[in-house]
Amino acid sequence: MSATQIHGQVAAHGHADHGPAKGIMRWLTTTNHKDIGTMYLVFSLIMFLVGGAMALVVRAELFMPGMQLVDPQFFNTMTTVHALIMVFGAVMPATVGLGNWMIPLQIGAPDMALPRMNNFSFWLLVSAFTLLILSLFMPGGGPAAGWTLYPPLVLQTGDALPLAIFAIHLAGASSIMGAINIIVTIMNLRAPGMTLLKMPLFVWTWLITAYLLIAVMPVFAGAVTMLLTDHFFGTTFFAASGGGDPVLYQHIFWFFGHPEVYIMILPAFGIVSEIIPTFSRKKLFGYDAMVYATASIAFLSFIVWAHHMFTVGMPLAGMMFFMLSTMLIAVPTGVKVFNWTATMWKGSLSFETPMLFALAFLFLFTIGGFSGLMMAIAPVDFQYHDTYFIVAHFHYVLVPGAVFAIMAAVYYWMPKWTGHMYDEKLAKIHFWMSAIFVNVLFFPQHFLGLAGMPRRIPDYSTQFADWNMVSSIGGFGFGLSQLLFVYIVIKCARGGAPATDKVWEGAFNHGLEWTVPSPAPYHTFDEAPVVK
Amino acid sequence: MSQDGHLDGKRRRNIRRTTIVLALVALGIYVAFIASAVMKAQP
Repeated sequence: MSATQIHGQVAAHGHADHGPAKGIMRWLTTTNHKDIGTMYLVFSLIMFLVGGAMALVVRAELFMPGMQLVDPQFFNTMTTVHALIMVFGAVMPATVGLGNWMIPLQIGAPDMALPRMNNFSFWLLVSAFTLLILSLFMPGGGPAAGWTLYPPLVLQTGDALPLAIFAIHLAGASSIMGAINIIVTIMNLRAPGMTLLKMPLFVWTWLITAYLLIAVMPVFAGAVTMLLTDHFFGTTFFAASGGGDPVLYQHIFWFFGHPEVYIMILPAFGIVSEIIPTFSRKKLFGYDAMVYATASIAFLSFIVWAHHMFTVGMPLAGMMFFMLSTMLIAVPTGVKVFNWTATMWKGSLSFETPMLFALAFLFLFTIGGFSGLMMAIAPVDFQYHDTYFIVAHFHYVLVPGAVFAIMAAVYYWMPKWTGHMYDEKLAKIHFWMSAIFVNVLFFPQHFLGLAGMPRRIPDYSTQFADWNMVSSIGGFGFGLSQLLFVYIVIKCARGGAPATDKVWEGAFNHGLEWTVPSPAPYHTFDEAPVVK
Repeated sequence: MSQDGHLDGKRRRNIRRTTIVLALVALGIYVAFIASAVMKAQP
């Protein structure tokens, strides 16, 4: 995209009379992609804080051996609902929010192709998480069988089960509608001249993510529907007593669950692919290879699911297949990591906050990737399975991976959204606190896992006490650091130094979003720009 | 967004067609997975 020339009027100023409605109705009825993007981002921030508070309950209980604060049932509820909220309520909606805001701006579209469905998707998501949180107050407590909802354990859940399953159905429907909207927008509303291989990487990664969502969200919906019929309608899909098979659920769940990991991380790859070239003042190295690597990762994500189930037992050939196919993912992922590094090579680097978060992503996501490779080795996985090593692994992928990329994106595009520069000094303090505490929080969990500490337990042997204490201190430090993030975002939304249209010196000819004024007008690209 | 006024008929038809196809694919996958589990559960 860096060589792309843009012709024609790119921003409409004659639409001032079509500004937003006033008051609450603006947010309830809006069909504007910027409003809906903002609502998704605010919602995900709230969910991030709610899910984070649940994580702190877990870390407070694990601060010392012995039962300190909560009973084991509530502890299990906290681990379960924390995960469901962070996956479906925080990370996914944040990337959807960024997609809503940026995809039309990056491809020169006036809005999403299906604006009313866009509004419906968002409010469906809010309903879903209202139900899920309300399920905590049902007789018998909230869902407590882990986010994987494995039967037969999950079928022991009290009245919260149907509520949680309904919430998952609603969130899934919302995700599918959002994905359809994104695909339809990208395939039909690109500016003239913007061929597929001229699209910004963020748009590419979202397009592939949207296809993944459409392929796997119905699978998860099917799995939980069968849980529901097993519980209430006498079927025995997953009950051995009636000829069913609990392992079938695990296969179906992970056929969804592994691509779900890439649903969360591919948009993060896209964000990093936008930020590193800007702050290196260079074109992205190997654009085409990055696109093909993203598509390869998406394809491979469908044929690796049983690596989550090595300890369940499977034929040797199956184990070999899933072990090798999982290792194969390291190839396109390596292409990406090397291309980001090559983009920086001999670049004129500067280290504003978005770049700092992108660099932290590069280092720390790679740590998470490597520990994933370790667990792909089937015989070794028998030792790591269900220990804190896996907890450390997926948190490295999701927190300094996906969450850091989302924070990088917020700092990168916030001046375009608000028209103000954020407080760079505070943002750097936020970055360093987050980067330090996230490692204090999660790195010791590798040691705990290797020493044999099982996951999802409220109490543990005294030999694990020291690293658990360190991890909990890191958890509270990381949580407090995010309050600074909230303050920086609010401060930037309320005022600050005015942002230029280009915002970043290195954002030269690099995406159509930098050709519209800051803040981006309520309506943009009413006349499509021409990209040559 | 008053987008309908801006989009030509061909593009609107494409949007409608793509939306319907993708929604049917999602629904088909949902039904197919449940149906395959029903088949497996047959004695």
